[in-house]
Amino acid sequence: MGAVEIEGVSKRYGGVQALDGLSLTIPEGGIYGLLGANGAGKSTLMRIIAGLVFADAGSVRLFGAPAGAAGRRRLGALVESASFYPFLTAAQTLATLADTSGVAVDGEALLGRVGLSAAADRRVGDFSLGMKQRLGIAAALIGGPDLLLLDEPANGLDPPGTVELRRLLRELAGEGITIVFSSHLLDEVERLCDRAAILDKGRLAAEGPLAALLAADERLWLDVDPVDRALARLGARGVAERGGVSVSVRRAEVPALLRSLADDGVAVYEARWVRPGLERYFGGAA
Amino acid sequence: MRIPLRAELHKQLRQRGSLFWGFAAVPAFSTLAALVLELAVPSTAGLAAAVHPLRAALRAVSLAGNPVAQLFYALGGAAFFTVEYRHATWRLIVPRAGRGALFGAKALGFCLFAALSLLLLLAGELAVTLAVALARRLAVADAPPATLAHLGLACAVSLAELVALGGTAALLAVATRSPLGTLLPVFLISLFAASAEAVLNLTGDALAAIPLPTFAADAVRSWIAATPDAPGASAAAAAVGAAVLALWSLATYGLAAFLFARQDLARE
Repeated sequence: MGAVEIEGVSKRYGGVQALDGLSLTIPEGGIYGLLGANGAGKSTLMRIIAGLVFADAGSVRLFGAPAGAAGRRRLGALVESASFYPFLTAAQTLATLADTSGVAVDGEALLGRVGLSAAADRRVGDFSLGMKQRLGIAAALIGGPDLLLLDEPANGLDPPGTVELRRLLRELAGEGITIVFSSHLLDEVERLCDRAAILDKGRLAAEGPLAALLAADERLWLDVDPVDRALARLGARGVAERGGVSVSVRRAEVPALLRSLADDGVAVYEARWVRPGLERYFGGAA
Repeated sequence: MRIPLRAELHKQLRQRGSLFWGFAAVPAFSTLAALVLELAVPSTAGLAAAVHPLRAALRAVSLAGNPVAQLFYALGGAAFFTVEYRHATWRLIVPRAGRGALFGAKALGFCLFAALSLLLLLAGELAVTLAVALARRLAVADAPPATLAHLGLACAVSLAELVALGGTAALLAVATRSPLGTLLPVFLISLFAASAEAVLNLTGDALAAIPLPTFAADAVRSWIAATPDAPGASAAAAAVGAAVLALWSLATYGLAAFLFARQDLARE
């Protein structure tokens, strides 16, 4: 049984097919990444899991039970940008949301956990985007959820805020909460997630342990001169790309490969790992 | 199903501007107008030997059917039912609370605020009348038991009218997701009804023939105010009016809840 089981889910908005027969099982525990370019269907999937949007077809199960009001009581969600009642303070916001859900909340502790203790009595309307994101995470933690859906939670956070978010998410995962984390930034997911699914035009493009997904796609790109001599040395493994060459090679073979190129009189100015397959899904952001 | 009414009221009480214009403005302006009139035109009570607080209160609660008053109540309804669409906050509360419970809290909350507004209207009018009596050393006339019963009925019909207005606002809020899209039609319906009533000179039983809340409420009020010298609507017309008010509320709240339960909140 997974924390979230998605079976054949489709959703169309007018002429746009946001999700197209998507099936996916998100295991319990750990941090699970939902990856994809903007418009890949990540937010629609999050909204369907959270019960904000209804699927045209397919089903969603949470912890083995059909997703419904009862099942979603175990869920905390921050979907897209955090939006709040601007006339409430941060403390009032958490109290109101907890009362709406029928649970008790230690607002002070939650605000402290996301670094907003000093802003507890400030109106949310005066908050910066980063502060709203932090409050959104605090709001998602109300009631001690077993499953946390975070849609692009790093949006609007400054670099220290992003580092703090990563620390918090690791801490929450350590407490046994299943975290589903979406991002269009591969780097962000790479730093946090144990396992990931890549969505592309509403379909599942790849799924599995993140390390395996990355390794399967990895190529070494070299800035070399002359290119034709390098290609002759690399044979079928090498292709000309972006003014240099890229080559399928295992990490362990790299030192020998670089030595052989140097022996042939090829100058290597730069070498880096690229993921052309993933870049296709992220529009060059990988 | 747990209705989160307390959370809804807590939230709405902090929308102070909307709350004032929507629910407190009518009682405040009505009380102020009564006071100014008494000060500027002493004849209202000055020529009389006694004041009639219950009669004054009866007049005051009927104000809820006035198109200008309904504009303010429509403003309150729009603020009440569109706050989550306006600030994109359904995403915060729908996942865990459930849509039926959230809509129920909104509907009950609006009815409660409307009832409080009517109470303020009554209290303001009674306070002015009694203050005038005290200042001018006028007697306070005893009210026959029938007047108290009439006042109770008038309050009930005014509340029913406001509840029906709230239902219209709820339905429009869900359908348009916009404060303006909610406010304008509610006000225009009320304005149309008031104009039609005046132009067509609708009185008595004729009022109950048009199934709109304003006409229905006026039919009941006309029956309540009827005397042997000035006959109003018949009991049958009043019953039809009461039924129209009840059915309008059931239909609008029911349809709004039905639509909301099936509404995609891809954008609030």
